[in-house]
Amino acid sequence: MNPHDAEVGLSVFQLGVSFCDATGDRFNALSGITAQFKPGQVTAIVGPSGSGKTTLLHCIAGILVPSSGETRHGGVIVSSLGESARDTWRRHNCGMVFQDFRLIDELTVLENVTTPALFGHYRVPSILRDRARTLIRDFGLPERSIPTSRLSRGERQRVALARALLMDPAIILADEPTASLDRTTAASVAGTLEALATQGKAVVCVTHDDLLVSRAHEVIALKAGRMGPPAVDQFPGLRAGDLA
Amino acid sequence: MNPWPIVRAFLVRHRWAALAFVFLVAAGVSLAVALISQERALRTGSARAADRFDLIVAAPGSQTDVLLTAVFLRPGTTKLLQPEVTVRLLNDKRAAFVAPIGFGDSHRGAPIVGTTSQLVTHLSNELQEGRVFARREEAVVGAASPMKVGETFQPTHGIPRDGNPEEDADPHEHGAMITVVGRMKPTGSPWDSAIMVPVELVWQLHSLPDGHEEGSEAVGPPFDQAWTPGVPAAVVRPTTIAAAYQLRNAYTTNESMAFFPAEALTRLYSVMGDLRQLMSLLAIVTQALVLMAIMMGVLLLFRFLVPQLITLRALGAPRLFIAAIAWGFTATLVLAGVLLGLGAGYGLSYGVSQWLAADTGVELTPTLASSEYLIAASILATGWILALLPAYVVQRRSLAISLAES
Repeated sequence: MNPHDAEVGLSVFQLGVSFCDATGDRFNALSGITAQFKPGQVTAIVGPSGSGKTTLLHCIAGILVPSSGETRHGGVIVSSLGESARDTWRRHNCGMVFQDFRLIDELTVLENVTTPALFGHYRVPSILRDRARTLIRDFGLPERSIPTSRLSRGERQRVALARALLMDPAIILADEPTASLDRTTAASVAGTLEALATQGKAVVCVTHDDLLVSRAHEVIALKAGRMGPPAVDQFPGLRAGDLA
Repeated sequence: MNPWPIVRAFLVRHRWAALAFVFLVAAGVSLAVALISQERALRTGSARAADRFDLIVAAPGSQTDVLLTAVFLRPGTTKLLQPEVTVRLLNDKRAAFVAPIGFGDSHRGAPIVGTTSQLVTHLSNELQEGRVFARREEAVVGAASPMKVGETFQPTHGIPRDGNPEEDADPHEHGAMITVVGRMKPTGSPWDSAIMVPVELVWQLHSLPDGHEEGSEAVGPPFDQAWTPGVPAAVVRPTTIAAAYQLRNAYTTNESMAFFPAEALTRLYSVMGDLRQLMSLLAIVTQALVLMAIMMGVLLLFRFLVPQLITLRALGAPRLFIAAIAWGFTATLVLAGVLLGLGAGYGLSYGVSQWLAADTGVELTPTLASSEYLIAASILATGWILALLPAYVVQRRSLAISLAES
């Protein structure tokens, strides 16, 4: 099925990305990737280091423009937008979460969560401020004005998740969201991502974590920039029929 | 868009480097501001001090030396006016009064100035306390003198030069006992710490004819032609402006020179002004180099902030937002440095004024005026324009490459 037949949701079609290496030779970081990231599902992108997982995530986010193929969201061909339009699209449609949280430690929890609102407003609109407070409360984070540097790693990742959700995006993109967390905290974050999918969001995670993979509705396995079957023994929790 | 919360966070994160940058800018600004402010304070202070000295007549030589000696009471070696010229001047009808000035003695570091009661009254308008001297063993002290009315003292021969007793010329006490009978109002000049006595006393203590016939105890004019010695300088109060110019012409001869203090001060100001311009130029060039160094420093600092900046971009921040953060960060440093520099410059100027006033007796009142604000504004504007450089460089960074690198 051509995923573009479905005019809703996020998809990539025949996506290819090539880079020049240090010697000036071109190599394909991704080639021929076609996939659909459905609302209400968690999709895990797995593969060994250097297989192109993060490159794919960046293409989905509109950070990277593919050399061939396209990224589409609803009726919008994201990959053909200009940089400024892609920034705006990402701001309103994507929530990004990183392995190392990437919070601004000197800001409070509330200030970190409301950061994306500063890109388009001088004052954070009250509706977004209220939403930030709700997210903070829902994630069980402290409401006091303390810098995020004083929070635990699990709490900081939840702050990053709350920040990603501020603009109520349809897509959550997470790059190794559980990699730097202990098992209990990782399970909690994985549960949160699953819950977000339940709310109708398309959740895409680049991960090496079998815990997260085991909760994914779909798994995209990459090897040398191409899609292929995952090494099942590497992910014992992988469910049969999960492969995209 | 509002980059200020992020700017504030980054300033807190790199507070020590930021403080160093602020102090660098402040140091440059304060030097430039203090230089201009101090030059003006010197100019206005010295002009105010010399304001009541209409015309000075002295032996031919350096007007600056005479000005420093007669008005600013700096010890110097000025030649004496010949007695004939002195007498002719003292009795010149075109002057409301002519006050001879005689030096040579001191008391506890304060110079004793021999003159007439007319000059004392003229300089002080009215006395703050007591009366002017009417007898030779009476004195009037300046407003800042620690001596009290009614106190007596013995003058010491010689004037300390910059407080160095080694340079006192033959220090020894004269036998005369002098009583303080009055105190002048503040003049903002070195005369505030001086002791004024009748010029006849100074002549008498130095075994010179005392201006009056032998045995006379008279004080003040008229002076007897046959008994009047030469003086280092005389302060002339002309009756009219026309008379002032006539007197200046009349006593600008081979035997004497006459000048308005403002003339000599203007020449001094011209030198000071040239020096100020040169120093200001140097300060601005130095400041430009400092600002350039700071821009480079900010660029280096922002390398440490790349993870945060690319995160913001990944969250959807436009390039302009990133540029605004970098510009705001640098602009805040420059603004803080300029404001601190203005304050520190005033403080520096005030400190130097206090030190100079204590050393010279000239009251200096430093102020911040438009020229200081202009130079501060110029540095601020230059800094804000240069801040576009790191802003441009930082926003150019490719998001995909930065994310891959991080």
